[in-house]
Order: sequence, then C-alpha cells, then structure tokens
Amino acid sequence: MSGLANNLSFYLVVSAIMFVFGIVAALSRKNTIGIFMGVELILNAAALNFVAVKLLQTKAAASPTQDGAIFSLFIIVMAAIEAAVALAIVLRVFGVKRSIDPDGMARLRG
Amino acid sequence: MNSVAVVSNLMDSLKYLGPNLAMAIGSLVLLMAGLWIRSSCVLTILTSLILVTAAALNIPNLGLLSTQYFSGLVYHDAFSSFFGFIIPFIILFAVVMGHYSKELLADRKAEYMSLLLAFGCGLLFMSSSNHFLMAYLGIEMVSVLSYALAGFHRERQSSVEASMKYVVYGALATGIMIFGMSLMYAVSGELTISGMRNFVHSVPADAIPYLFWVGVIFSFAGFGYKISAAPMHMWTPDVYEGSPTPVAALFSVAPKAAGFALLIRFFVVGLSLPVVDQDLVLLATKNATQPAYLAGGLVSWAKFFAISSVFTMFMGNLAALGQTSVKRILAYSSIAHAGYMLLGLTSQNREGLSAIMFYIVVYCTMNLGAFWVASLVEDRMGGDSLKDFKGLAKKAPLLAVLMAIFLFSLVGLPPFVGFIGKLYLFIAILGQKMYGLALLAGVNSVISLFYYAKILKAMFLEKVSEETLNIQGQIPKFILVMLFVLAVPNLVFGLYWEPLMSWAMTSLDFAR
Repeated sequence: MSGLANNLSFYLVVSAIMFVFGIVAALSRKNTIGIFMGVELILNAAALNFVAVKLLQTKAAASPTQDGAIFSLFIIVMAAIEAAVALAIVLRVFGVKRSIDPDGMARLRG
Repeated sequence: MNSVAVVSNLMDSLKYLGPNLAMAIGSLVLLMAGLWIRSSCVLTILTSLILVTAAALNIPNLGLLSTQYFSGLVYHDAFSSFFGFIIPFIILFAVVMGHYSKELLADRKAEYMSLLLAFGCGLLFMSSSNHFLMAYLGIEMVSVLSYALAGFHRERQSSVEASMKYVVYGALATGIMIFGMSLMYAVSGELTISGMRNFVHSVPADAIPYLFWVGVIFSFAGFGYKISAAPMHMWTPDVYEGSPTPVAALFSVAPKAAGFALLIRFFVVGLSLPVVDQDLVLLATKNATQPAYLAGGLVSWAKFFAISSVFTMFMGNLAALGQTSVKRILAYSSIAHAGYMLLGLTSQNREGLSAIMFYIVVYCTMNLGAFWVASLVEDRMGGDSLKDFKGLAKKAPLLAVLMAIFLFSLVGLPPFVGFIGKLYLFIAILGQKMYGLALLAGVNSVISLFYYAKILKAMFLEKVSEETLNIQGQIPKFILVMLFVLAVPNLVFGLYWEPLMSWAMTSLDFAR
C-alpha cells in the first residue's frame, strides 16, 4: 500500500470535503429529499472517519479493537431507519399539501 | 475478553437494566394489547403500572456501587438513577394527558402509549450512556420516535409540517454530532466518555490538536439540539405549536432532562471540567483561585457556556414577547429556561450542577402543568391563542388559579419553587464572580415577566363579552387531581426545598 493510504489526514480531508458538501446541500436544497441526501453525505463522512481510524489503529496496535468499524455499521443502520421515517413523513406531507418544498411551510412560520 | 467473560458480564449487567427493560418490554406489550383492548382507560392504567414498575426497579440498585456495565457501554451511578426516577414520571404525566386529550384519536391511543414507553427507554439510555455509540443510539431512539409523535395527528396539516421540520433539523443536528464524535475518535482513539477522560488527563493540553476541540463543539450541536439551546433552537416553536399538546408538553421537558444529563456527563466526566475533580485539582495546584480548565485546554468552557447561555436566554425571551399563541409562548419560554439551566454548566462547580438537576425537576412540574392547562383550554375553546384564554377566571376559576401558580413559578417569583431554582443557579454563578452574567440572567427574568403576565392578564383581567360559559364542569375530576399533584410541589418545594436539593447533591456521584 502506498504512503497516502497510511496517512490519517488523507482520510480526514476526504471526509471533511464530504461533510462540507453535505452541509451545503442540506442548507441550500429546495426539496426535502435533497436535504436528506445532504444529511446522508454527512453521516457517511462520519462513517468514513470511523473506519479509517480503525484501519490505522489495527495496523499500529498489538491488540486492536473493532469499535470504530462497529460504530460505522451502526451509523449505516441508523441512517436507514432515519430515512425510512423521514420518507414516510415526506409522503404524509405530500398527501396533505401536494408539495414537499420546505420553504412553502407557511402554516407554521419559522 | 474471551466469550465466557463477555457472557458473564452480560448476565451481571442485566440487573442494572431493570427500568430500561421494563420500558422496552412494556412498549411491545402495549403494541400487542392495542389489538384487543379498545378502552383507552384500561390502556392508560396498564401503561401507568409499567411506568411505576420501571421507576420502582431503580430502588434495589440504589445502594449498588457506581460502575460501568455492558463492557463499558453504560454507566450505573447515582446520577443515572436520579434520571431513572424522573423520566418515568414525566412519561406518566404525558400518558395521562394523552388519555384525556381530544387531539389524539381514540383508536390510536395504544400506539401513542407504546411510542411513549420506547421513547422513555431511549431517554434512560441517553442519561446513562458511557460509550459514544450508546449516546448516539439513545439520541436517535428518542429523535426518531419524536418525529413520529410530532406527526401523530397525521390528518392535520400543522402536525405533519411540525413533524417534517423536526426531522429535517434533527437529522442535520445528529449528523453534525456524529461527525464531531468521529473527529474526537480520530484524535484520541477513544470512544468512551471514561476513555476520553483518560486521554485528556494523560496528554498535555497544548499537545491536543485543534481538531479535537472542533469535534467537541460539533458534538455540542447534537446535545444542544436536544435541549434546544440557541442556535439549534429553531425547530422548537414550530414543533411545539404543530404537534398535539400532550406531545408538545413531553418534548418541552423529557428530551431536555435527558439531554442535560448527557451534556453534563460528556463535559464534566469526559472532558473533566474541574467539577468532580475540584479537590484533586486543588491538591495538585495548591492554588484555590485558578482551577485548571480542562486540564489547561485550549477552549475556555466557562466562556463557551456563558455565551451559549446568554444567547439562548435572549433568543427565547425576546421572541416570546410578540407571540399570541400560548403554546408558542411556552415554547419560547422553554428555550429561555434551557438558557438558565446552562448557567449551571457555566459556573463549573458542584453547586451549579446540583442547581441544574434541581431546576430540571421543578421545571418539569411547572411546565407540564402549564401545557396541560393549555391543552384543556384548547380542547374546549378550539384554540390556544391569548383570546381563547380570555376570562378563564370566570369560566374555570380553578384552572385559572392553577395556571397562575405554574406561570408564577416559571417567572421565578417567591414563594414558588421556580424562584428557589433560579436562586441556586444565580448563586452558583455569583460564587464564580461572574457578575455580568448574573445581571444578564436577571434582566432576562424581568423580560420573561412581560409575556407570562400577558397570559395572566387575559385570564383574570379581560372581560368576556359573550355569555360566560362554565367549562370547569366539563373537566374530569381526575385531571384536576393530577394538576394538583403538579401544583403542590411548586408551593411545597418553594418553602421547603431541602430534601430535593440534598437528593440532587448526592446524585452528583459519577462513576468514572
């Protein structure tokens, strides 16, 4: 493996870029589904960090723990759960309002 | 650890887990029972029994030594059993409130109670988690169920909109929190709060990279969202106004209590703010005036919490002034109260922490009561704006008087307990010589008087032009009894608060 893959900051930079893209997407999208895509990016950035740290720990330590890898599995599962509930809610909103634009939620003002 | 040791650790751990198990099993039981039992009354009694059992299961654990269990995932200590007693009782009031509420349809009561029990289980895990994974799962368990509860009235537009706003803000906040935790893990290689503590103690403070503190502040986004601290408070008014009132009452107290528990544990134990270790620090430095903040860390957490607290108080109180909906006023007031409670973390001493815990208990009684009266008025008058409260003293004198007690307590006027709670928070601040902060908090208390007084004025002073209809007769006697149960502590603890305060003090015994 090359030196790049052994360097933690490489992974951190990639995940930081994913995180920033996720935040920008979540804040700028005019569609609720788009916002959730941004949130997915943020969660995956975190999962990438956990896996990368665990990978480098495994290389360094004599008796490595699996905590980071398990954490990222849980993040994936929780992201699926959250998406299921969120999409059910979005469907309800569409059923009631015929629109899922979060800016159009004038019934309750910010 | 080999597999035999893991299994025996699991079996040993189960005895601490009684309350959580009772809630989780109860939630499943309720889900099944709802298929056969149609009577909301029977379901309420069943749920109440489960909740009382959950609270009672704490008792045998009280004398047990503070420890970590489930291989260090969860704590058992005096701090977690304090919340183990409070949380079932908050849920109990939400269950009874839901039973009488006309907003929740009769055929969905079983689902409502099942969701509430699972919600309570998540809160218990939040208040006792040691591992970041456990904290994350606890927060997500509470959040996902909150989204469902906020949209419980799924035919009503405001309810589904509230649910959607909650899910958008909630997903973003927990996402940022989990990214922050991953950064902390990247620097320290530790995923537990106790491991974080060892890390902060073993490494010299200026050797810890900035990335770690960035991670801590990102994590605060998740906790701050749960306690609705500014700037993560934007969802609060909309969600409280849109969701059914019993659910709003629950949201205004329960996630706040568990969120503060997690926040205190994360900062005080994990980052070892010089609270628990005061004596150790004093011994080490021999200098009482200079507590070693965060073992000399880069961020002054006293300043951080002071800014957060002042910002939260002003955001809540100023925005509440212009509101006409009572539920919205109470929502902004709950933001302001999160700000007051953050004062306790600013002071960074035992007095401050016990003041937070004291305030959480009394805040639960007054806020649940105020929301319940708002719910009763909304059910009978068709709205929760100030004009629906007009002349409540004529229509339902008892309700008006009870509401007045809760509101006076929320303002913090003596002899009500809200005054004692605020007094302890202010004393903790003054003990650290933060006079400017105490002044700002006092100014906020005065501001808050204006909007609470608007409700009082509507209830007692404004004349009702139409024929006065008496709605007090329509209110079931049991609701009045429960409201008295909430009102009595506001008066009694206002005069004799020593037992509650000493309980909060002794509950500050953290396991490490």
